[in-house]
Amino acid sequence: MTTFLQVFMTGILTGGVYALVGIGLSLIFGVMRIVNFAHGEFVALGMYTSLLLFQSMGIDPYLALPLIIVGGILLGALVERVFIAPIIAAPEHVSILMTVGVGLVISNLLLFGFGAHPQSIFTWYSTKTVRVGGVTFSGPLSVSFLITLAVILGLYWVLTRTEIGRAMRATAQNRDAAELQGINTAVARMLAFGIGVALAAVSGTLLLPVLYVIPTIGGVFTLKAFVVTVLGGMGNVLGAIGGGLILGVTESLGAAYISSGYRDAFGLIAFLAVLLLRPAGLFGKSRV
Amino acid sequence: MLLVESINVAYGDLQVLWDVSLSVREGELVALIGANGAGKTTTLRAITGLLRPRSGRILFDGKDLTGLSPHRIVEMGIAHVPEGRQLFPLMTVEEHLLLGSFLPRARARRTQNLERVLSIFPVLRERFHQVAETLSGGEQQMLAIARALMSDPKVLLLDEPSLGLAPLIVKEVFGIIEQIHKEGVTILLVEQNVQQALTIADRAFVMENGRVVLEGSGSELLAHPEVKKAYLGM
Repeated sequence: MTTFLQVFMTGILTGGVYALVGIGLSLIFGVMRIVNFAHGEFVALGMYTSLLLFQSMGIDPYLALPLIIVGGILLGALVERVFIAPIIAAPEHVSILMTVGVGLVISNLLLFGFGAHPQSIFTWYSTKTVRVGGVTFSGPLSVSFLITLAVILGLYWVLTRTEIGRAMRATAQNRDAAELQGINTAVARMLAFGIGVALAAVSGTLLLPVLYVIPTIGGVFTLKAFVVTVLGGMGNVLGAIGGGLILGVTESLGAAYISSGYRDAFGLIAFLAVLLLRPAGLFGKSRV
Repeated sequence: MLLVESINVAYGDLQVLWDVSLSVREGELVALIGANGAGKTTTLRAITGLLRPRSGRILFDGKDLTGLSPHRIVEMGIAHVPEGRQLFPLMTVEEHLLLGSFLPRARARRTQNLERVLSIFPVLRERFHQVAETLSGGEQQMLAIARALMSDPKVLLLDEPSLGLAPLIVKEVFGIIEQIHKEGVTILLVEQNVQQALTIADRAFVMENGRVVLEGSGSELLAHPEVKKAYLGM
């Protein structure tokens, strides 16, 4: 029983960070109606940026978060303006090719800059653990989970309580009507992409203390984000939280009880099952 | 105040508006009537920039609007209540009214306008925290008009406000339109409900197959033999 709880809770903690990756993808899909196939590469970019800051200046990943958030929003907005905005009205496959292309450029730049070998950071808290009633939690993973919660609450506040957040949701729900309220929907899209990228980069930073990184790790996260988003319902930002937790727990349980070599496969099996049984996702259609 | 000068609009290769011209003077209630597919909605969509004319000009207070994005046109003081209401299905009444006053100019007068709009549409006060998709058709139409009024418009474009509503609600909506007009808002009203529209209109334009074919005062057109025959079934 303790083993089960242990494995389950590890799944929840990891799933929280997956949720954050998925929420970014979901927000972008909701507002822009495109799937960002470069999403995982932005996770990788967050990881390597934090790695660089840690190695060259000794900045702790958690302390680098404000910088990662601001940098992520700016980079995302720039990428949207330069690469996505010109093709936003084009047929779907154009945006797929474009985002895949952006992802390839990022992963190859990382390969060029950091080399192909796996890297990780070691901090004073890397091996710290927290024990609660027989269950042991990884220290950094727990901290990452709590920060994830704070970021999700912050995003929820922005989306529901601020003018610009409402404008983004309005753009997602009815673009023409949003324009007719005086909302510059091109700016709303740019901002949505910026926030989505920032969320991906933040997830990367939060995972850095518990993972080895390689330049091609992005592909794994694009896939995970996609699974999370489909589990929760495309464009359904709150559903992505459920999707992330389910993915984390499924992987964790499968790895512990069946085979850790097929860790990623269990998430995909859950994904296929949901697609077959509930194609609109576990929590229904687009809700931003 | 609002001047449409011989615009031509096409969807791809299919031209739907041919040299459409019309004018709305300050303080007027102008009706644009005609059968389904005559081009009334297209005309409104061209005015607020949701469609771009191939040729022709649209002037508002002497400024050329042609080719501007909708959000820029709305900023100049034109509000558009689109066909089919176009609400944000998952947002509450309150959020719609806040979005209606998104622009800085309207945001400054948000509190006054909110009071004004809720006094015109008391039912929205009762539904204030309800999500739009749970409202009845009549309530949704009222919300769409209320949202547009929150922007403090100089001109209000109304596209088929009576569409799909029960006769009693239609009467209520027309009463509200008259009231808003009396309070000084200039209105361009697109309607298939020709009788009621002409009764409250100062002037009206009749469209057929993408062209303006008749124009006159509301009462003139009500008495016009062709209008009587084609739209009033007399």
